[in-house]
Amino acid sequence: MYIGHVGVALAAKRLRVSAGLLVLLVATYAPDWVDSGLCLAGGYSSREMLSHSIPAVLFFAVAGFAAYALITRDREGGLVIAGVILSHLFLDWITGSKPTWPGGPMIGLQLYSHPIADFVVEGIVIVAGALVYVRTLPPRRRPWLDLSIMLGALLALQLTIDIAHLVFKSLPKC
Amino acid sequence: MTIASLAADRLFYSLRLVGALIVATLVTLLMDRRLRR
Repeated sequence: MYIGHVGVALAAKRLRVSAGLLVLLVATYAPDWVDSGLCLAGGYSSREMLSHSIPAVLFFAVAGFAAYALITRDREGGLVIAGVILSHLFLDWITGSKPTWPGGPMIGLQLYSHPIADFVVEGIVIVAGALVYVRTLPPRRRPWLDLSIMLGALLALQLTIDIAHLVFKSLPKC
Repeated sequence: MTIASLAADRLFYSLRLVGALIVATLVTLLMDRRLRR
């Protein structure tokens, strides 16, 4: 999943209003940041074992919880951060094909092969997350207009990625 | 496949991924800032 992960970060903001949106966005993309770092550093494994397997994401979730709870003294907020990191795995199982554990099978519905279905699923997660997030906003005169601009921008990004998948059937991996 | 093309693929993949992550993060943060003004 690509932009759909933002939907989880937006929804999590409602769960813990005190948590910064930047922290939630870093948490929701944690496995992807590790993935790109490993690729640049030359430590990439073709099955994304160190970034997207169950043990790896569990490790990131525990580390995220510990770091957030330690810095902010907010354990419940730390649990929200851990949950956001774990959500990455479940959402990627819908759209991609990811490793389970070393020697284990790859699992996932691989919706990337069906960009239109991928756009619909990611769009649902983005819209659902934004609808939960809007309740964290201060009262405004035209809240739905502003929210529509945010939704439009995120959906446009997702559409660009899905069109790239349609046009370039197999983009080179790391 | 040469070492140069492998390195190019690696760089292209990283830039593509990092670019998508940064754009998604910045767009969301900018909109959040606008909505909280």
